[in-house]
Amino acid sequence: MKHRWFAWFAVMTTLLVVGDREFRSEAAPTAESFLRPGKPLDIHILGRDCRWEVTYPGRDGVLATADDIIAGNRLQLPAGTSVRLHLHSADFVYSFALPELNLREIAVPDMTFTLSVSAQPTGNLTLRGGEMCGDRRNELSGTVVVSSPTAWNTWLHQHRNGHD
Amino acid sequence: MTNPLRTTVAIALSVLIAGCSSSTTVTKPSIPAESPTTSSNTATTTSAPLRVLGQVPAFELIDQYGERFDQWRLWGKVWIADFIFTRCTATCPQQTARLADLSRQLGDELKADRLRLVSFTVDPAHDTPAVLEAYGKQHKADEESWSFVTGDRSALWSLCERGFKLPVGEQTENTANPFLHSTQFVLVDQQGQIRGYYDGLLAEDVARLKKDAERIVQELKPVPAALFDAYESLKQRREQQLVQIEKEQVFHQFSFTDRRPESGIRFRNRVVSDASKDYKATHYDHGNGLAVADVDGDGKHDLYFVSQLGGNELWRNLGNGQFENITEKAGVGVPGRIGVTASFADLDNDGDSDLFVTTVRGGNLLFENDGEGVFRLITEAAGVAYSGHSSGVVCFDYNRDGRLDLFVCNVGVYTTDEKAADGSYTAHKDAFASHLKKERNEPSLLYRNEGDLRFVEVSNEVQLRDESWTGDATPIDVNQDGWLDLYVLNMQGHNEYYENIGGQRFEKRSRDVFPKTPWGAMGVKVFDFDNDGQLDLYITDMHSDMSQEIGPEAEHLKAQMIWPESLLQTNGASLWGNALYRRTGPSQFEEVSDRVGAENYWPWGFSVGDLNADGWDDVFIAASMNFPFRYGINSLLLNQRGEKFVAAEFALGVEPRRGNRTTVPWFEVECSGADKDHLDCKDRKGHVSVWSSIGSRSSVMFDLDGDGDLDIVTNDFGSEPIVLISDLAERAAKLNWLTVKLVGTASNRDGLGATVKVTAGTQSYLKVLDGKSGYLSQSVLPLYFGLGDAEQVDALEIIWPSGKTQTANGPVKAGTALEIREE
Repeated sequence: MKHRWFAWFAVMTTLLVVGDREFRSEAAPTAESFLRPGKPLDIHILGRDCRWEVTYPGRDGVLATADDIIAGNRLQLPAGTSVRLHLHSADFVYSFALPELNLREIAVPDMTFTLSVSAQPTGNLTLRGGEMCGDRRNELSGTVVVSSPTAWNTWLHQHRNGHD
Repeated sequence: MTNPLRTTVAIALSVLIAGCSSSTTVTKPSIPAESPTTSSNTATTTSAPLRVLGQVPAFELIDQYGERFDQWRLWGKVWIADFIFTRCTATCPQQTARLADLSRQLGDELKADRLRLVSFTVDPAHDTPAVLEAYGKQHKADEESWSFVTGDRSALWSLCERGFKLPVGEQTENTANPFLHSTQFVLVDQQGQIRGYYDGLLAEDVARLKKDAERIVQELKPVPAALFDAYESLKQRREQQLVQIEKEQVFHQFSFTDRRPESGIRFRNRVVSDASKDYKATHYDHGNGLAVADVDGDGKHDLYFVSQLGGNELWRNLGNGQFENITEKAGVGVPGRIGVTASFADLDNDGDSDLFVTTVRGGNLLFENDGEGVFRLITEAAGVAYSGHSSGVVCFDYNRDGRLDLFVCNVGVYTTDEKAADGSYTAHKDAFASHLKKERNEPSLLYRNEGDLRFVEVSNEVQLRDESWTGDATPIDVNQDGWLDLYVLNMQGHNEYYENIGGQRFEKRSRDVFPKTPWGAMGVKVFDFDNDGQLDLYITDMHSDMSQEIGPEAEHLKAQMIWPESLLQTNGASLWGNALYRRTGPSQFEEVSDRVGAENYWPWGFSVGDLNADGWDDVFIAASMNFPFRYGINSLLLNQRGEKFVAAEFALGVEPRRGNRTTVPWFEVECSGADKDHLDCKDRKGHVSVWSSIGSRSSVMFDLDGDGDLDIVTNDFGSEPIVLISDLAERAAKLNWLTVKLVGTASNRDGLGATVKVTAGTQSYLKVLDGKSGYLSQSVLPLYFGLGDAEQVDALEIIWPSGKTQTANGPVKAGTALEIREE
């Protein structure tokens, strides 16, 4: 019986160590976080030519500054974090929906509409987008990745450094 | 010097007439230079698009199974035609063998039903369906994809000579081969256009035909892919409706037939590039209206079709369902402007119908009728010049001075200052959110008629400041005080109701009386749905149907609105579909659309009239959105004793459309050239023809052929109209009706605004003469009362806009066209 307990303890320790290593390997390059404690994360989403362009705030945590990070059409959210998605358009009227969260908004030129999101747990969400009432063949739909804040931080760092 | 063209023609002619015999007695029809030129000069395949060499005319023949075979059987297919006869021992066996060989090479296209083969006989006396069927079997012709066609000889020969421009003749002295015909194979595209001639006896020509046929098949671009399958689902729906309607009591033992080809009407609505090739979600796709009036005083009602491109057309009713184009003589063509709609009304009380036409930034136009159907443009002098995004024009006498005033609905600024190649101003890319941008609002205009065709804009003076995104409005005496109020539709938000305060000013009382209105309102009509002597208000809602794609099973339900409030802006006080406001008293209504089945799918405007003459007004709703959405049916709702509407479009022959059409060619792109970056050129080369679902926009309901029943004419977007002729007069055991034409004296001459109550036995029928004939338009038509079983009318009561009440005692026999002058 004692033997059994020992074996179980050993397995658990290994898992924890592995887990810790994984955690460290993600966190190591990111000395600072892009998330500001207690403040919502602002993400700018621009519809242009039937694609989304997603912009994240840089180290200052503020959008529309020099260190903004443009992440192509990749929308990734930190789980459990209060996020504000600011929707704009450069041309058409676009619809933007996260059906699992029952959230819908539109993107219109010269106007801003904001969606507040707090996604839990980690995983993938469906993004349903479209040019409203117009062409339906577009790249506006896809997947939103919800990752742990740490993983999200790493991903954004990598993105800033030119990795995908 | 030799004329090279003539030489080419001569060479080609010799090819074309090489038939079953070399006899020289053949009839030689005049052959257009283009067809033979092409025949001889396209021997090498080029990337240039195959030219259109002609149009195959309409025909009605029968196939080898004895079934009707007309051009619609081939609509949407590429086909290869030839002319043969089964007794022929000269060229025909070779032709048929070559075609059989070709059918094996093109097997994939044939199986996919993108391509068909059609062999027409020139010897129908011998080539009966049975003979042709045996002939087909003998040559192992696939029975699905290869038709052998016979019929009336003169029809066949005319099709050969005049349609295909190919010679055919008799050579009675040659008993073995008594007919002479061409050996040409003819390539016809999805629209019935001739695209090439190929000698069926020459291997290289047949090889070229194969390549060209494959190329033309590629031109067919169903968008979305399921577009061409729509008819299959319609067949099923038809079966279901035929079963369902038998359970209902409403009279439906009659039907409509689209007799547009026979009517002579050749009008085709043409659309701007924003609504086609440029894929814009913009208000251009709202299309056009059509209006009716007897413009020349001959007692028959004429049709005025409006188009975005190519000018409007006025078609004079010749009687018996025939029309002729009198646009030029009448002077109302207005080419070069982007038309929206039109209204007829007698604006100067001189007994004829004047015409107001709206355009998109091409200036609105007022025409004075000289009484004989010739019109004079008087816009500037009349004081109604305006250039913007105008839509419906409502003629009504708001101040009861006996002159018709004008309410011009302005949609809003949905265009930029840039112009497209077709001359239209291109729309804002975000046009569909324009109602969120105050700077794009465009107030509608109320013009007061000062007499002598002079108008003054009085919107501010009477405090009628409406900035709705409105396409149309209707007069309606909501509070029943005798002054016509105004109900203004909004296609993107709340509808508005303005109460007329003694003809002096208007007071907005929208939400007081109508707490919830359809969000995307398009069509409107005031009528007594349940014959309770109170006028109800029916409104169709198109935009709400755009929020989600639905299947046919949900078409009679309100939309599941998924758009956010940021777009809707009505705080939830909206209906997501049609509304039927049943009047319960002055300024009191209950909304009963779902209870009575007044919902439908993708509606634009609609027309109201007693189609089965049973005394209860029915509704025809023009519907479907065209490109790039699925086909939506036009709705025909029969009114079952004011209890409910019974859907009857399939049962009455309105759907499926003539020839089972659900699609229409929409635009062309050059994928190897100027349009190579176009969305539809992805993975495609050469000339591509993109197709769309077909869709109606507007309609009118009137007795087109003077037989006592109501017919329906539409204006379809980017297509030809439908001319639905009713056979009620022939089918009904007894058809009892009365028409009432009003002639105002103290009131406006057309009597617009008058109500007429007809009593027949114990039943009374109330109608308002407001001119609202269909989507965005106003017409000058008599009121039509179906009387059910009543063979006479016992009394009439007219309440004129002047306030006078006039009564007339009967009996008046059913079948009478009454004209009542205000006294």
